[in-house]
Amino acid sequence: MFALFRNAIARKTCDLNWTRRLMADVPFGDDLTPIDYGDYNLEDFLHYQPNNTNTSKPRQEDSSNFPSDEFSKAVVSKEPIVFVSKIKDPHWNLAIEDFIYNQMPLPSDNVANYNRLFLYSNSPCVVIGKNQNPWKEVNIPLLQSLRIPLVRRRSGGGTVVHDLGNTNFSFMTSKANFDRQKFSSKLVEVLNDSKLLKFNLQVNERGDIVSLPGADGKTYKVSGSAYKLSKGRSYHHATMLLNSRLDVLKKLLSRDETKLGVVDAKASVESVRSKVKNLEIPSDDFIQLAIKGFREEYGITKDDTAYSNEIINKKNDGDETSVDYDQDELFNLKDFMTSTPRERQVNVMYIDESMSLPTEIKSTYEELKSWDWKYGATPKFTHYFTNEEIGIHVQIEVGKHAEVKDVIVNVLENCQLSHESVFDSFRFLQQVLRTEPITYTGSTVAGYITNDQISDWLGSSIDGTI
Amino acid sequence: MLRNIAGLRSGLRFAPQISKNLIGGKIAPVSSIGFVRFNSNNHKLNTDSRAFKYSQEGPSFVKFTEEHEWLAIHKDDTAFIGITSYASDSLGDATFIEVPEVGDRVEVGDSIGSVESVKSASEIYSPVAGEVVAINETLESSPQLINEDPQGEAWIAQIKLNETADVVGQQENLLTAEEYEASLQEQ
Repeated sequence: MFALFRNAIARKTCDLNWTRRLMADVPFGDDLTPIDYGDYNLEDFLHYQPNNTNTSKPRQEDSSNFPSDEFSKAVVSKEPIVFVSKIKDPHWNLAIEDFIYNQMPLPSDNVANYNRLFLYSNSPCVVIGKNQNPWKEVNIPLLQSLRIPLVRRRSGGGTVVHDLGNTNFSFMTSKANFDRQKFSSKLVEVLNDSKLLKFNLQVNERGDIVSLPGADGKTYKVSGSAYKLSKGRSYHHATMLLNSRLDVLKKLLSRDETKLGVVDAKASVESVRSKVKNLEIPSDDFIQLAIKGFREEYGITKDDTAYSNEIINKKNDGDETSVDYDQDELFNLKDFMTSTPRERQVNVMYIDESMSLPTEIKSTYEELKSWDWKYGATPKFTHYFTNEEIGIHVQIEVGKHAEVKDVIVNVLENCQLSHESVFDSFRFLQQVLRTEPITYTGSTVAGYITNDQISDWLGSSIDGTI
Repeated sequence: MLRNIAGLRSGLRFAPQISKNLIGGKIAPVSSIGFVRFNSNNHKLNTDSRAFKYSQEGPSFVKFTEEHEWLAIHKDDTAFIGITSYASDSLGDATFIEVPEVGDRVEVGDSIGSVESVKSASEIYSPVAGEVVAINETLESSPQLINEDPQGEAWIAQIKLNETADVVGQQENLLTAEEYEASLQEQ
């Protein structure tokens, strides 16, 4: 609470000190870079090789190709389970996460837990929060030209950049057990005990994981959290920077407002900038440590009373959604149960491209990939553009579903064109606006502007339309 | 949270004492002031708000849900929906409120919006079936209203009910203030 308030103040001050801070901060996590005066160094992307520490096989256990019906059974099974995705497409991973989350059975009491942990890494992409404005948060033309996907997730919070040097964890539990810090705290405990880290970690009041203050007294963020709460259930998902190419990725969030316009999105959620750092451990190690933390906190033992009771309840209450099957047989426990004698146990299931996934996941995937979700779910905003060269100022009002509501044109003193011809070139656009909705894409808006110079400029400024 | 309670609630409306904070987690330590308990006054709507004064004599029924929504059902078979003070306190400072659109048709249990606070997106559900006839546009530009007056000016939508107010008032999923209070004590 206090943190949020402080951040609001911090944001104001950092706008003023922007150029100075640009040198010191590595924007990532919830970070925003409203202006970047440097060039984009596009060649970085051409040589961009995702860090390959994530591609090696997990060391401990392997799933050896589950048929999809076993995945479908696992997602509804009444015990805690870990899912590890080997898929790298961000839309698939978010769709799988959504499915696991929505299928998770809810315990009838607060003792039993059917918690889930989902671990995944995405190929390079930019992920914005549910209620954010991509035009404000992201350099859309740069993303388009590099074919790096923009993804809108279903949880709150700010913009993050992912690559394979980042591993995400998603902890799912009942709404009653929602806690912004509990899982992060356990993870920090396990990571700090692992002796693998170059610096120790702590959880801050926003639920993010940061380094302990070093000699310079500074803390760096290694993990940014976001949360979702729906009927009876909740999740806490977060990034974990292991070996991300932070220098390359930060450029995707750098917007030159003189070119891409000023976005006034007073209703949407703004990102909070933080200094970030990699943990510098291999993804496999992190995955195993995250599983360890989950197992120690939420794993079950065969004589676990709560667990046994729940099995008995399940058999007695005739719950039609639960399917009776032998857990050991289904998951072939002997082969890949992560456990040590008399300790808590948890099943781990690996998900890869060879599995045929339930159709619900496919439809969520399609929805997440759609323009209507990525751009159309943006809260209403105003986009201001100034072109000093031509000498005009354009104000575009964008409403719900990212539909253009109004376009206001002003001619500056130094305008090279006759005022009449400037207004003329917008006449068709304004006429169409009176009769039908126009979606806010560069190509659509530019298509209705009859002056080529103005049309090209606005199209490319909106989203890189050439 | 403490700031809200000290500044806005003037000690009148405190969060209940609960060992496990339902949706707040540790970031909203309402239990730290936990000697104060809810009583029936905590569930009163703001009588100066539109949600209350829409009918001259006020709503025919005020009901609550286990998902922490309130409902003010008026005699013209419309109902105002919002989230309870308990929910608003637990969620913490709101940064964005998503409201439905006028003309949306909703069934019982459909999502009609969401509250974002401290990086959490929390769904709001309609406990009744009908058509959205009004939305609270103020929330779009002033999300903090949901922390300041959740049971009044921060109503989220007005719904024209499919059934009469009397029928909806008897719906099993709707709790009286006393029943809602009891459900909070259980947690």
